[in-house]
Amino acid sequence: MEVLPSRRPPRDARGVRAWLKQNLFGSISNSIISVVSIGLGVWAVVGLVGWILTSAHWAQLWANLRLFAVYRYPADLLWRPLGVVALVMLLLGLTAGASGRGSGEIIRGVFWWFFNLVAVLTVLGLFFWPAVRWLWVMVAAAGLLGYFGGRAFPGVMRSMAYLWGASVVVAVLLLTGTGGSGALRTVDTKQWGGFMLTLVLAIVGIAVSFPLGIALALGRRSRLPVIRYVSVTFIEVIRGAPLITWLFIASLLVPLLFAVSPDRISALFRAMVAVTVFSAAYMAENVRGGLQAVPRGQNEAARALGLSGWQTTRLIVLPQALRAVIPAIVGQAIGLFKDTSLVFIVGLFDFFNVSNTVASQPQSLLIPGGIRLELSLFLAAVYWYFAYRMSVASRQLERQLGVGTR
Amino acid sequence: MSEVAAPRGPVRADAPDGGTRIIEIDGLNKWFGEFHVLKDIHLSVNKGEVVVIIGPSGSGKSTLIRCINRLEEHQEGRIVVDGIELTDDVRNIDQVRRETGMVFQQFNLFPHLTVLDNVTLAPLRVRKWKKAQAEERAMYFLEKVGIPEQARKYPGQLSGGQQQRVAIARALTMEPKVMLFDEPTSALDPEVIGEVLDVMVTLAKEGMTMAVVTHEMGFAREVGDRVIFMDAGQIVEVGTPEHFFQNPREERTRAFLSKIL
Amino acid sequence: MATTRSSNSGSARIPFYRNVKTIGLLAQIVFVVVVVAAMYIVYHNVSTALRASDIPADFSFLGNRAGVPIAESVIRYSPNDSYGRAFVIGVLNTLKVALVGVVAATLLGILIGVMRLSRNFMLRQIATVYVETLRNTPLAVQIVFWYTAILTPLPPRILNAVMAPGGILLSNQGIALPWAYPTHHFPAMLPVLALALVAGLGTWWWWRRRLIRADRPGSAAGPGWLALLLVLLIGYFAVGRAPLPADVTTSFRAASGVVTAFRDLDGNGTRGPNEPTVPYVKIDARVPDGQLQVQTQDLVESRRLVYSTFRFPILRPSDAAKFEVAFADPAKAAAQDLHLAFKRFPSRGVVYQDRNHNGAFDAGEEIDTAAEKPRGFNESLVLTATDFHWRLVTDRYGEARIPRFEAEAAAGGSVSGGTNISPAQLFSQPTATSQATLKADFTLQKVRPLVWSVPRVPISTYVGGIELTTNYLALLIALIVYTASFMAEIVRGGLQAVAKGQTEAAKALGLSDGQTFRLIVFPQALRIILPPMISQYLNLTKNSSLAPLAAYAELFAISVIIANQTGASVPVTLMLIAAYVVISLAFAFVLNIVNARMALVER
Ligand SMILES: Nc1ncnc2c1ncn2[C@@H]1O[C@H](COP(=O)(O)OP(=O)(O)OP(=O)(O)O)[C@@H](O)[C@H]1O
Ligand SMILES: [Mg+2]
Repeated sequence: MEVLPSRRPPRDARGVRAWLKQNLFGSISNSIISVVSIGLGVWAVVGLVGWILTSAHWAQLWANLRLFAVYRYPADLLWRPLGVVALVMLLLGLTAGASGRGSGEIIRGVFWWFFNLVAVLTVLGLFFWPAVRWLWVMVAAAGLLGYFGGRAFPGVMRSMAYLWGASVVVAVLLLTGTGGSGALRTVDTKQWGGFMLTLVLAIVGIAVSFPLGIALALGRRSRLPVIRYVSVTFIEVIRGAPLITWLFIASLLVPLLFAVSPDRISALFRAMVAVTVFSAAYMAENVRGGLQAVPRGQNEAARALGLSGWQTTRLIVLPQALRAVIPAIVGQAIGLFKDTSLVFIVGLFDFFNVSNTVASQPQSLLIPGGIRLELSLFLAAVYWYFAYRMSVASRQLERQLGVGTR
Repeated sequence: MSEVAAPRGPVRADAPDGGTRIIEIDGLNKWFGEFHVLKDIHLSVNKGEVVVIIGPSGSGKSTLIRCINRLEEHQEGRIVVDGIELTDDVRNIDQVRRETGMVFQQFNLFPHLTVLDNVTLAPLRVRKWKKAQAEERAMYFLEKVGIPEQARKYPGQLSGGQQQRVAIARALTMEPKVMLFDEPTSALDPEVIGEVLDVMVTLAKEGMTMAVVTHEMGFAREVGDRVIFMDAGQIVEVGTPEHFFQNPREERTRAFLSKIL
Repeated sequence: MATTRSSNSGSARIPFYRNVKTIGLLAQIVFVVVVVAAMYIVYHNVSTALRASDIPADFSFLGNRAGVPIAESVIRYSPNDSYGRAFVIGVLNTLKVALVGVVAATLLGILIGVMRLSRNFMLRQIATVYVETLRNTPLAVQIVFWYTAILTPLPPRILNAVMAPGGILLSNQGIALPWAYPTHHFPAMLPVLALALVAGLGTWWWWRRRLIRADRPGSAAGPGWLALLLVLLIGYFAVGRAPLPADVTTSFRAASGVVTAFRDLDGNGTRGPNEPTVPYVKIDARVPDGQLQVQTQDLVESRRLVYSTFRFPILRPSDAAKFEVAFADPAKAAAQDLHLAFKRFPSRGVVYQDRNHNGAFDAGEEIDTAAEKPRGFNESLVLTATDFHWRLVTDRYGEARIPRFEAEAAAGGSVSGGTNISPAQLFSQPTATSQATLKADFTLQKVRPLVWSVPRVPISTYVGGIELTTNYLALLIALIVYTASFMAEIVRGGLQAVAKGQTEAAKALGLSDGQTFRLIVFPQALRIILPPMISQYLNLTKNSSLAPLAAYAELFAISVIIANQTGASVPVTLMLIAAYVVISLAFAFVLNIVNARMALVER
């Protein structure tokens, strides 16, 4: 019998035509929807881009970029926050350069993403921001130095944890200052603000709430009823009320709690307490999800080998549980990053609240119609960029973890 | 309907005299809430003995074997392992667990650790061995179960039979005096059951004390010193494999054997 | 039970720190001691701090006069009410935004979620962009966006409200919609309702039996609903109009332009403190013809100064014909080359100079006061009102408002003393120069069970219909749009989780696309969707606490005000937490029921 040669599919079942037919013009109703939605889409995009390019007033916003970045952090001390950024880039570069294949890919992805951002800002700085021009160059250089340093000496990976730990101390000292009146003079946290403050709050919130959340989650799963009930009550009450109420409550009650006069405890500290405790309750629920996902057999096998209860938790259960909930924790980090915008309620000027300041500046009020729309779009764009990148990274992570372990 | 033999008091599964008693279970009773899972168990095992426990599903085999290293807490009776009685004393519990190795039906390897780390974890953390010593012993046992080349892999990358052999090596590296097996081959594909059984047979022939819950009658015949048949939380019949498979005394035993053989 | 040899018989010999049982107990005791100690320190510090200052620490302040104005409330509120009542209004306002938000967000979320799985490429893309942008932007930014960037820049004053089709009014104060309210005659509808229910169910049952007998496919729900609606409709008109009780009369306060319908129990014609008002009454208000001298005034529109322009709050085309505007002194105007352009509806008048002599107003022909005259250009105009009558519907407090015409004008004379009355002021603040009462006739109308209340702007606020303030809208829209982006992902996930085989099996059975979705896919997806949806409902409710950003007075915002005013931070804090925890527990309760139900269905 003769073998029939394969033929190509008919014309409208392949290529662009097939795609159009399948996705846009399959039926009459589909075609109508397509035409209308394409029209609306084009109208919206053209309108928005047109407005952004022609009628929007960006000058006032551009003039206030420093407020958005660091608020009232002294102009001559900008090298300190940027120094912290440089330090982070250096360590991130080292970690990315030195870590091996596998999980190293994720870290390298994160590093290059940050580095691209830094590069763009450096170029902008070179052209437009004379005050911080060389500081941005320093940040970019630190990143590259770290990365290639890490590539050259992969051995640093062993001491990375210590370096990161030390960098936390250095970062805190740099931001707050050590006193005196020179280059390291103390900068009151009242002068902190802008995106710097947003990042500080988000990072402190997630980092400190992580161990707290684990402790609460373990407490909630304890077989000892008292510990269990206390943990459950704590978690549920904290989660029961929204973050903004906790911020408000912290601003009122933290001074009372420590029995000191209200002005001795900075608004920043109060906000951090609220954000951290709130985040810990949610972290606990995430971790609990991970703990539940670890099969009972794991625990039994560890105990049968003679490991103690604490060893079993630390070496067997927690590593598996945390790995399972990394995506959830990243999700929580995104949420916290967005939620830091609520600190306006305690009078902090984070990135979001700076925009309110800018909107009510006399120069802004002189602009017909105000610049609220411009500000909203700018805020949305910046928050979106970071949150969206984090969620993309989280999805990648999820995929890689799925491949790695099983 | 055949008449069920009226219990003439609990059946005692005592080890033959003359050996060293390593497990002694005396009047063991256990309940899950209201449910009486183990009823008056008397069982002892001599050093070097291989005891095979069989019985229908839900008869309490797993529960019995898990009582021996206190994964399950018993309510009445005495369990003594290598001279240590299992009481509420944490020190005793830890000691017994150190001296017994256990192999589970579902392997229960730690998926986030490499095979080598799985095997060296307990020696390092419990026995406080040096890393080099632990790894050397680990490799010795991995070789023994036939998979030294898999040491750097993660459990998820191994086949079921290989995983179960790792689990055996993991238990052996602690150099236990007793090995407990709870249906070690039940979760395996038929073609890899053999490789696990081979390891177990070798182990038995080398003189390891073993308590094995299994449905592998071939294994029971070949290396079992005694076979114990359990039903409804009781030991119904005890005997050598020959006695057991050729002319079991009890009606219930016969009914069970006729179903699985 | 015969406990001969217990394994625990040896426990007496085990030191307590090695006994599994006592270790647990010991750990709990230590834990309790630590927790109690911590709580004691907290209590001690807080109570000493409270005693040191004179911050109120109990709940007695709740009965005090609040003195805070709250712009909108579900139940009646005035600053004279207590803090307790203000707090309750906060709770009600939270519920008001949460309930509407939850329903709307669900619908939008389902729509977007289904769109994400659409076969149409464009719909898919639009939905994806929607989800990815909105859920990655802080809610605070979105609320401020809607509030300050979109809604506040709407035509600034109520007088300039945009009139959308269907009698909808829109301004930077909010939106007002026509609304049907039940009148005093509504109880007459209750038997009709019962009858309609019986008819609907009966038809449904009967139709179903017929279908089953005839072994035909089809649904009996349609005929059932039809019967129900038919009976309702017929019943509604059969019940007819009812006159008001004989003792209902109106009283009018010219100073505020408020007419009140009330039950004049003692028959003295004025409303005493014990005489209840009557809500949702239809009143015809008729004003005799008259004239009024007014002056043009520069207006600010959308933050832009519009020169020599005037507007009237004439918000129905039918009202427009009843007004005429002319120069008070035409000769003087002609001498100055001033012309008047007046568009009746929507009313907008300009005094202009016809620079290009085409006889019509063109852009750029306004009298630019900045350039040509000192600020405050005024030209006297005469407003003539003929046969002016309004049909009013009283609100839930039994009140309705009409614009205050000055007495002489209404009586037919012309007001020359009103030196500085702008057309806008004519309808709002009383003028210093003329303090007279309006002569108007009010006639109470018979009403059907429902009354259709159309919003209008007689003074400076909306009257009639139902009003949604800018603050409420900004918060509501932001909450809906934001939460829907999360819900869309839940819906999409749920729909995708239904195995493809289910769809194929349904298609193989001959079900249509719609039927497959409605009968097979959706019910299964619902099981996956519902639990996370409920937690989104809770999130939306909790997120409504961002209300201060839109100056909407809900639970949190009012609590902040109360705490700031009274200094009673601890009690207010406790009330606030308690309120939210109760709300959360309520949601958790519902969630548990749903989960239990779902688990049941699963089997
Ligand atoms: N943790 C527990 N709580 C309550 N009942 C249990 C528990 N574990 C086991 N059981 C019950 O105890 C009985 C004995 O269980 P066990 O696992 O010992 O049986 P088995 O003989 O090993 O059966 P299989 O051959 O199926 O493994 C069963 O009826 C089981 O349902
Ligand atoms: Mg079993």
